[in-house]
Amino acid sequence: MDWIQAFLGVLQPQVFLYLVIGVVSGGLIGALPGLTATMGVAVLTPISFWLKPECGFAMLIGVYNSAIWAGGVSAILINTPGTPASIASTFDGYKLTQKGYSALALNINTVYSVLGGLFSSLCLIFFAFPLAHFALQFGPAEYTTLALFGLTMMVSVSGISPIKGLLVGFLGLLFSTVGLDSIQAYKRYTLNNSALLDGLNFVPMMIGLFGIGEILYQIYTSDSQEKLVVAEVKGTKQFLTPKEFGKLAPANLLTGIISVIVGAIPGAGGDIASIICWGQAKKMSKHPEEYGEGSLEGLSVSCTANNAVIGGAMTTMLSLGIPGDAVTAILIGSLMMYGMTPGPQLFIENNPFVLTLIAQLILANLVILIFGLTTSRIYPKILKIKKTTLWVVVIMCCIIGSYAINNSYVDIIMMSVAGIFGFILRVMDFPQGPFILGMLLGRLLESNLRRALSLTMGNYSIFFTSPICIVLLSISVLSLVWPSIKKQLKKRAA
Amino acid sequence: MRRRIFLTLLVLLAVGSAFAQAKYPTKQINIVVGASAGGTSDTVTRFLAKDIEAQLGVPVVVTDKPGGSCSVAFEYMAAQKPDGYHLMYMPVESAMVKAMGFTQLEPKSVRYFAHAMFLPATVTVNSKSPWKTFNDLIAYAKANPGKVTVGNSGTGSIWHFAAVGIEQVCGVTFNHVPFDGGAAAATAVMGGHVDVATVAPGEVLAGVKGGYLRVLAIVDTKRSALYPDVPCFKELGYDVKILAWGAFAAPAGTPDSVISVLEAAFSKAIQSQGFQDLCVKYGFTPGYMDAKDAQAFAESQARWYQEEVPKLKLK
Repeated sequence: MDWIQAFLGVLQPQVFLYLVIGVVSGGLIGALPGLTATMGVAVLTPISFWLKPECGFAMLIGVYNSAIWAGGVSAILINTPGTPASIASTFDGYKLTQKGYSALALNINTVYSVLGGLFSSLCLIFFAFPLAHFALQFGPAEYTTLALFGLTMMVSVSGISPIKGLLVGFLGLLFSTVGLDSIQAYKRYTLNNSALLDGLNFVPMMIGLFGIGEILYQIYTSDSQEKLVVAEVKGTKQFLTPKEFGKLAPANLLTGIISVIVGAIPGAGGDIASIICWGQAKKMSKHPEEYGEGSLEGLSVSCTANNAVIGGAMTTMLSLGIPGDAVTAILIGSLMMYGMTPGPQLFIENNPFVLTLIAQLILANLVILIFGLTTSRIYPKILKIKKTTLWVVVIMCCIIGSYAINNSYVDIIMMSVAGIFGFILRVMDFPQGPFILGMLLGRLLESNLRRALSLTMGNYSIFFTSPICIVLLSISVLSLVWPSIKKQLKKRAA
Repeated sequence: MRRRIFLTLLVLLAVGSAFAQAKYPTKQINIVVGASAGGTSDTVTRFLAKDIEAQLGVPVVVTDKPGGSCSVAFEYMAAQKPDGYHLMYMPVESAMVKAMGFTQLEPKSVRYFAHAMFLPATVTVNSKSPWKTFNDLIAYAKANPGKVTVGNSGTGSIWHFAAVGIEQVCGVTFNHVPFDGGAAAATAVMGGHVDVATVAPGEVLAGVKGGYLRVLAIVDTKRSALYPDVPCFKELGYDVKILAWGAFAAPAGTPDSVISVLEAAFSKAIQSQGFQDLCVKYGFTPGYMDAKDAQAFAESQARWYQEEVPKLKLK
C-alpha cells in the first residue's frame, strides 16, 4: 500500500517534471568530459532548496543516475569517459564505434545501465541493512586488500602485452604519490606549488590521457587525402538479439552483485567497480580475446557496473547515514538541510520519504531508458561531422571540463601534459588502462596500508586475521595465477 | 583656461571616485571557498551568499577551489584586486597553513571583515564501547598510554589538533590515526576499527541517532544544541583550547569604505534567524565578530598554531 502511494507520489506531474529535468540535465552533464555526476548534483543542490523536498530530490536523483549513464555516451563516441565511472566503457565501446556500431553500443550502454540501476534499487529495498552492516566491516586492513585485488586487474586491462601494461601501471602508482602523504602530511614532488598539495587531480589526468591522447593520435595517423569522416554509422544492427541477451546475462548478474557491494563500501565507487568487474568478467569469459577489441559482453558489464553502484551507495547513506561515494555525501548534506538525518531512524521516522526516494530511483532509470533509446539515433550523427571539426570541439570540451572540476588553471596544464603522455602511449602501443588504475588505487592502497599498520603499531597480522582480508587476498592470488592454470588445463585436455 | 579645465576635471575625478566608492557594490561579488562542494565551508558560504545578494542587490557567486587545506584558494584570493569583489570564506585552516608549510600566507596577509561561527569537536565512541563517560575513557587512557586509537580527519587537520589538545589538558597519550575526512573517521568508529573519533557534531549525528555511536563530551565551553545531554569540556573541568571556526576576508589593501559595507551586510546575514537555525542543524556555535575582532582573533590563532605545529614533529 505504502509503495503504491510512493509511486503515485512520484508520478504527480510536478514531481515527475523535476525528475525529467534532472535526467535531461544529467544527460548533458555526464556526456561532457570533466563535468561529473558529483559536480552536477553539487551545482543543483542549492537550487533544490527552493523546491519541496520530493521535487528537489527527484531532480537530484535524476541527475545522479543520468550523469553516470551519460558518461558512457562520450566514452563510446569519443573515447573520453564523461565521468570516472565510465573509464572501462572506453575499452570496448570506442572499438565498437570505430567498427561502425555506435548505435548498438549506445543502446547497450542505456539498457545495461538501466538494468544495473534497477537491480541495485531492488538490493536497496530488500537488503539495505545487511549490506550496510557488511560495508561497515571495511576498515583500513580490508581497504588495503581491496586495493590490492583491484591492482591485480592491471594484467587484465593490459591488452596483449602484460609487461607493457605493468610498466605503465606502476608508473601510475608512482604518480599517485604526488602531493601531501596521507599519514604524515609530508610534501612529495609538490615543486612548492600549492596546487599540487592534493596530488595530481584524477579527472583532468583521465580526460587528457583518454580524450586528448586519442585526438592527437588521430591527427598523427590521419591521411590528408582521406575523406575526413570518423566512422561510417551502420544502421543495420541497433539492438541485441534475445539470444545474445541471454548469453550476456550471467556475467552481468555477477557484475551487478559485485558492484552493489563495492558501492555500499564507503570510498569505493563506480570507477573502481567498473574496472574490477570488467577485468573479472574477462577472466571468466569464454572469449577473453574479444575484450578490449569491441566485446559486447565487456561493454555491457562496464555499463551495468557503474549504475549498479548507485543503489549500493544509497544503501549505506540511507541505512547508516554514511556516504557511499562523493555524490551521496552531498545528498546527506541536502537531507540535513531539509531537517532529516539519514540513518536507521530515517527508515522509521520518515518512512514514506525513503519509499519515495527509492521509487524515484526506479522511475529515474525508466526515464533514462526512454531518453537513452530515443537519443541513441541522434548522438552518432555528431560523428558524421568533419573530423577536424570534431577534434576542435572535443579539445574544447576537454579544456572546459578540466577547468570546471576545481576552477583551476593548473588542472588544464595537467590535462594537456597527460594528453601528450597518452598520445605517446598510443603511438608506442602501450595501454592507458593500467596507468589510470594505478593512479586510482595508489592512494587507497598506500593510505590504508599505513593506517592499518599504525593501528597495530606495525604488526602485519591484521591482514591475516580478518575474514574479508583473507578472502580478498586469496582471490587476488588466484586471479594472478589463474591464466597459467587455465593454460595447463587446456594443454592437458589437448 | 587650460588650468581651469584641468581643475574641473580633477574635481570631477575626485567626485567621481568618491561617487564610485559610495556606490560599492556595482557588479558581481565573488566568494571563493577552499573546499569541495557540499562540505561545511561551502554550505555556510552559499547560505550567507543568498542573504548578501538580497541585501546588496548584486549577484554573489560562490566558487569552490579545493586543495591544500584551503591554501590554493587563499593564494588565489590574496592575489586578486583589492576592490571588494573578491572575497573568501576563511576556515580555521587559514591560520594553520603557514605553520604547516603549505603556503607563505597567514591571517596578517589579508583583511578579515566578519567572523561567522565556531565548530567544536566531539569525543565519540562506539555505542558498544565500555566507556560510558569521558572520565572512563581518560582513566583507561591514563592506565594504558598509547593504547587508545583516535581517528581524526587528517594529519595536521583541526580535528587532529583537537585530539592533541585533549592529550595536553587531560595528561594522556593517544595513538592518532588520520583518515580522509571526519566522516571517514566516524565510520571507522562505527565499524569498530578505531576506538574514538574527535570530529564535528554533524559528522556523528546519524550514527548517534541510529544507536551506533555515543558522544562522551563536547570540546567546548557550552553544551551543543544537537546533544543537550552530553557534558561540555568546561563542565568536566577542562580548558578548551581548540575549536574550528569560519570567517570571511578580502585581499589586503581593500579600502575601509568597502570593508564597512561588507561588514554591515555580513553582520546582518550572520545574525539573521535563518543562519542561527542553520547553525543549530549542523551543530555550529554562532559567534559573530566584527572586522576588528575577527582580524585580531585570526592572528592570535595563527600565533598559537605557529607554536603548536612544530611540536607534532611531522617531519
